[in-house]
Amino acid sequence: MKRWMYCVMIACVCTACGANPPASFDPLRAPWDEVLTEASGKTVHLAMWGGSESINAYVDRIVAPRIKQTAGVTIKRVPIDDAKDLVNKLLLEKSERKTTGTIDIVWINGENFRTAKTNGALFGPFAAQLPNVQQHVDVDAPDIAYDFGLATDGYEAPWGKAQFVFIYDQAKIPNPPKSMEQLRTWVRDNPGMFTYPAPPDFNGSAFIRQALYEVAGGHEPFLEQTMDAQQLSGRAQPLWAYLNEIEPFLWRAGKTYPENIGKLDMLYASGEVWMSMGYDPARAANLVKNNTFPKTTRTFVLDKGTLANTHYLAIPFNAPQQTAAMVAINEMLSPELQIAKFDPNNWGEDMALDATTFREQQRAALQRIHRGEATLPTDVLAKHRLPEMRGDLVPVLEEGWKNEVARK
Amino acid sequence: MKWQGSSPLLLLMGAYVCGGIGMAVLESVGAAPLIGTPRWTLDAYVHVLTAEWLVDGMWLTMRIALVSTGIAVGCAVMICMCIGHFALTRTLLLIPLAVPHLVAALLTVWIAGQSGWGARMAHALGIVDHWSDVPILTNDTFGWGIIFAYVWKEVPFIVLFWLPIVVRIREEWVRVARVHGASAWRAWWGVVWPLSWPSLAIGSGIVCVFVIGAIEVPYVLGVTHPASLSVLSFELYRGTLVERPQAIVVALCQMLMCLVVLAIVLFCIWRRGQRHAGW
Repeated sequence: MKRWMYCVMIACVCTACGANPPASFDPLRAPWDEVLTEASGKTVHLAMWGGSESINAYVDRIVAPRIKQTAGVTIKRVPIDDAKDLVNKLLLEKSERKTTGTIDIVWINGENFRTAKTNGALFGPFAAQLPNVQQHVDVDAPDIAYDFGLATDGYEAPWGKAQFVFIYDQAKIPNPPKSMEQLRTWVRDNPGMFTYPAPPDFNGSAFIRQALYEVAGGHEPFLEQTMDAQQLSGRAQPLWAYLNEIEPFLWRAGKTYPENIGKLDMLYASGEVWMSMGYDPARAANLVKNNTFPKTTRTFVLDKGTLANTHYLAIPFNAPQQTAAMVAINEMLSPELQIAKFDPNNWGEDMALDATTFREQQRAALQRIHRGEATLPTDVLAKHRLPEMRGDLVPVLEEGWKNEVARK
Repeated sequence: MKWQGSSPLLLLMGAYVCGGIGMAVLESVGAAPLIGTPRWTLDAYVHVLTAEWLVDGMWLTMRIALVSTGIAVGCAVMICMCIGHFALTRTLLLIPLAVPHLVAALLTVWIAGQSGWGARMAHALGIVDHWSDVPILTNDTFGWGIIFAYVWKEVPFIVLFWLPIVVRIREEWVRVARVHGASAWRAWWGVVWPLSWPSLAIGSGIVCVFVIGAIEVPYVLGVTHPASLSVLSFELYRGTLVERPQAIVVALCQMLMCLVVLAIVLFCIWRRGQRHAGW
């Protein structure tokens, strides 16, 4: 008697699984005018880490209205915790042959880009098609052409540059440490006042790589293409020794670590620890501005330099609006939006563009921006940049940390 | 029979649950990898089941599930017995029910953390000299923070699951018992309890299974090591794709623990059904 209900349900399930027909328009070959016409009126979903109020506000209040105005494309921000989750979802969708996904643009770099690109989960190569990449991006610069040691080959377009900095309160620490060696002494003299997020948190993982460079003989050996997981494990021994040595002097005597950067920031804001850190030189200034961090908060880099990387925008292989995604990315790389991004009132992050290609007026606008007391000057940051190691080696260190530090 | 009315739902649910578990098992033995060629292997099982962190994680998960369910049931019984008939009680109990688990976990950090409101108040009142003297109640190795958050969230659930039955029995049977001269205490333990404990058992079984499976609270309030099975499987799941089969094995361990809990609850109820006619 209720047989018809089963039929209806099975029919529903079947239609839900069915694929939409592919679009015949090819944005990778069409002239840019046609791409613009095709994209107008479309809506794109931008998946990005949602943990920063100022970054979210920049996208919602500056980027989205402008792109709506200039290109007629609507941006919907989809907050995610980690691009890794999205890449895993894409791979799953690929294995299920789901040709129409839900996300059009993803904010990505490093090991996530490596996983996505090497498994064919990205659309492209599209970067060279974008007029703003052609005009304003130095595509041959090593820190743009290579993402954690992997050639981007146009499967992602650079959105900005980040650098690892330590965050401290100058009212409590007049002379912050300048090397990992000095940090060890400081931690020992100030028990309970330092900790780092537990890897695989992005920032915690960056901290142990930062430590690795200094305690295991400089960054050069770790950039070599011949380095493999086994060699790395061998060379990482001094790092585990260092981290285990400071562990008893960490917050909660190292019995637990903050599970992510948000927790560490919370501990720093409440004064429970005296240092925070992060892969965004402007985050401290932003958190000072909204009164989360004390006014006396400052940042520092190490004398031998800190990790730096470029982050990018990519388009999933099954993005429903690939054409509009290309147009939106092009707009996000426009000098106007990049200068706005550099402004600490919005985000305060380094541009992905080469400022020498700007018009006079744009350069003047750039000069007028003051990035706040807590952000180091651009030239100081630039002088202390160290390249990232290969993305596929990062999980080796994260796994090593779990076995050698957390579980001991 | 009653359940036939919901059979389309059961069919769909069954297909998704069994299909999902089936896919997971296939992936865990390497037969259906997301990338690469299929290769039958039990590596993930060997790796996970021989690891010390799994044993530690199982102990922790069992401990927080049993202790928090036990305390929650105790509190719920006390509330139902003493103040269950006040309308205000029921209204107040709705507050924790409306709060998501993640928010409950964060509230616990803000209130009971070492630099939280509780510690600040204690400092302001002169009870402690410095916040570092406040005992560690969140992110502690035993899991008290996790247990506290769960008890706060689950007591209302159990009360609202159980109270309607208690109230109904009271109205219909307790009056009879009292007329026949039973004391309030005797009417409770002799009449209400035997008739209503199966639903309490089901309610606490649901809570226990939920605690074994849920991640938010142990993720925010736990320690890095030992981590609960839910945190371990989530971290493996988010790791590289090579680790995906291991994540599934940990999740299967969680499922096994849930099935054991359900089996115990159902066995108790079944045995009771053997002895008396049910309510």
